[in-house]
Amino acid sequence: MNNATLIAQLRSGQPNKALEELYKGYPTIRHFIKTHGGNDDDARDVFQECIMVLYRNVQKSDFTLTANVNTYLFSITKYMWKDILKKKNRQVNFVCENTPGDEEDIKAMLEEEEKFKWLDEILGTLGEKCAGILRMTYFSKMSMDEIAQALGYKNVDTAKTQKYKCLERARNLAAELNLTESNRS
Amino acid sequence: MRNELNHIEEIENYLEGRLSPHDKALFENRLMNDEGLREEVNIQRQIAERIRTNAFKSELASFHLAYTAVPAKTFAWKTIVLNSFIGLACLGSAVASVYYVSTLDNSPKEETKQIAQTVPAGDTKKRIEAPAVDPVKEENPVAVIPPKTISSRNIINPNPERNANGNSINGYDIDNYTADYKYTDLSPVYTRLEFNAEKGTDTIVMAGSGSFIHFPGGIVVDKNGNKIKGTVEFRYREFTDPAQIAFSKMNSTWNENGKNFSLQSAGMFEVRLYSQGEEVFIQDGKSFKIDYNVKQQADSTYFLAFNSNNQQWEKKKKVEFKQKGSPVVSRATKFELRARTGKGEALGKILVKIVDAETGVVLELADAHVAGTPTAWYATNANVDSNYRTLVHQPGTYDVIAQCRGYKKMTVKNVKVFQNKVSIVKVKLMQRKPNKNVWRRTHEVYTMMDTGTVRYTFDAPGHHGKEQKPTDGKINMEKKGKANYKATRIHLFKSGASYVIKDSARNAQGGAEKGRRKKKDGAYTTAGNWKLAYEPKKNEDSGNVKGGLTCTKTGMFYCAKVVPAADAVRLKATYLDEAGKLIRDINSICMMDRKAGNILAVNSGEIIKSKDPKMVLLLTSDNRLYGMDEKEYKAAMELKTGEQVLKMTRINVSGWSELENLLKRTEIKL
Repeated sequence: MNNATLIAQLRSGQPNKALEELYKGYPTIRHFIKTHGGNDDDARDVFQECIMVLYRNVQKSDFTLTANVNTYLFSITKYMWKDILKKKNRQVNFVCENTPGDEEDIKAMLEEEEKFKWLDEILGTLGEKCAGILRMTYFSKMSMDEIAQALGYKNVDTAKTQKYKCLERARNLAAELNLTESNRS
Repeated sequence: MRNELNHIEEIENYLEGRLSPHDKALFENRLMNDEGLREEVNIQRQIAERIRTNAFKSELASFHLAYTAVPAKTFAWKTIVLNSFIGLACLGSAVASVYYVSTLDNSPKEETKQIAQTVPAGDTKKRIEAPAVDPVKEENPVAVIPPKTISSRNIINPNPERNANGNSINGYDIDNYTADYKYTDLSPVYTRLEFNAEKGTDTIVMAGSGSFIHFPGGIVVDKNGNKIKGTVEFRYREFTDPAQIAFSKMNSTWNENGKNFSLQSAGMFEVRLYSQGEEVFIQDGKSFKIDYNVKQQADSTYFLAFNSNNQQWEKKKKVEFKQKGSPVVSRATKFELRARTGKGEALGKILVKIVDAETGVVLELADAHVAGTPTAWYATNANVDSNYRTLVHQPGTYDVIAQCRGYKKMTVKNVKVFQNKVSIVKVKLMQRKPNKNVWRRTHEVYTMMDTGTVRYTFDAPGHHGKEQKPTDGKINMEKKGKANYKATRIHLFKSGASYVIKDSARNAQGGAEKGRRKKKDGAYTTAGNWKLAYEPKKNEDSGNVKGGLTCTKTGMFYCAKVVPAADAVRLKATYLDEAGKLIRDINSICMMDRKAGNILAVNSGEIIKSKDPKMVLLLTSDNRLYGMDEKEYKAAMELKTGEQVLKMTRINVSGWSELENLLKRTEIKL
């Protein structure tokens, strides 16, 4: 699978084939983590976090992957594992070949994850109906026709209204929370 | 659509790149000049991205589950095998994203943290930091022996009855089901807590479900009846998702006097206790309490306990809701479960009526409890005057304590409880007179700081203006006008009190509206003093249900609507696949009434014929899922009598959302 196909599949909302490809690199990464002071769980966590970094990057329209994807993941893994070991005050006895630019990227990515965690609280209060409809829109990239059909709405307009109502609620909650957050900080 | 919604749609179109180049340029031009719009776009982008990443995360987790279920070296699967397996892994993710279910290997800590939190934090209990381990792996290692070849990858034993022995410890046992249960990831994972068995724990909040558990001390015994001292491990899980109940293999019928009833789920839960790796139990006659979060409010809802000796549910108590379809409670209704089971006949009751000594008015917020037992547990009894608090105890002599905020506490000594009799206690409480040294909580003045914290002063004699440390609190803001926000309510986490800000009183407290500060996002908050009116907690925890139940045993419990199944006939059935071949190795069959959320487990080789059409789902031992929708089912039932031959359609689910739709409520084309 070439990089372009992989990226397209990650964007598509049907990521299983792409994941299959990415997981070909997992044994190497697991071996690396396990020979550098980690266990299976660490390997899983780090690897999944790396895939999340890749996934977030892929969402940007200008993202291109020049290297082999597994090489890319491996270099993020190394950086991330180094970071974790450092936080635990453990000795780091391997070298990261990342260019500083990449490191900044990864750092920003990890920070972003922390930064937007508060949104989960809001999304959690939306209810299943909303969560489903928004997920179909943004993740599965289903059209309104498909969504209306899948969820048994009378017509597309009803589904559409429902969706934007959900979004409106999320926005209002977010605005409210954002305010209290900024008050606090 | 409303204008506002059209506006949201436009932003979405921009974010998803659906605008034409011309419209896009126009939009971007507006963006340049409109700070508010920029903020809106920003928040909408963040929401969309968060949804996307969360969804991907759960897909990833289920993929990993599938990956680790097979020894790594044999991972060079053929695509065909992989596809079918991924479908099933997604079945797992259905639960994973809702319950933060652990994967086959241990789940990350951050996942388990979201499952439960304990309040108030006591030193006797602590959240187990170790991630929840899948019960299959831990308790029945046989179940996860890697298969020799991929094609015969049977994690499940097709004949669960045969190895259902051995693990069974007491009357209620679900582990047997999970141990040979193929979709281990479908069964909800246990929330595990540790606390001191002698001290018990006040309240455990299950963050995932909204249920509360109250566990008194000194009620845990081992299988020989000896009291357990020291740490006890508490495991709890709820089956709420249709998928979990559908494939839980728990019986969903109930028999009384030869009549059959079907159970429509309002939630199933399981409670277990362990000490040093061995299961331990509740002492005879003792009990703990659960505020269970009921998903559906309906008449004839019962609380049932599972007896694994005869594989039957036992009806314990009817659940009565205080308000039907209360519009106030938008989330799932919560009620108190507190019925004595088993030893009920040996108990007696104390009814306590608490009134104001001067006025004779019943104090609704008062609490009565027997000395030495956990406080604040009462329920108004459905059969008597709701002005009474009901306490249920074993025969004996007790001290009853009555208390109410603002009144002097009173202990009534030597209240006798007789078997099957009711003792009535009337208590008159004296109002607490204002004391110079006592804070009068009725005159608190709060200052909302612009930091978002709450600083409060007590307006009490001799202590006027004394400032307390900022305390944890949440301020509810109400949007007023376009960009102004007004604080409407202050909630204090520590005391649980809630205060409404009285607008009219605001100016009466000098120094109101000391100044307005412009916030960077364009909103205003007003710093100053408000007078706050205390708003008593609405009896949320004791919920909308009259009475309730107490669990006197650990095990499986079910809250379900009991529906007569007189017109439902169990018929013999043969299941065929699309090619007309007999489907073998049936793991489980369930019939779903999606409208009512009802799920019936059916024995293999069987079908239930009833008036209401149902959707039939069939799961084979080698991970194939078949379905038959309502129309086909109805057609098949109308045409044939005697033994049914049902043609099933293979269902391939490729993602969580599809399966969710399938199992929950939507029309799916089979």
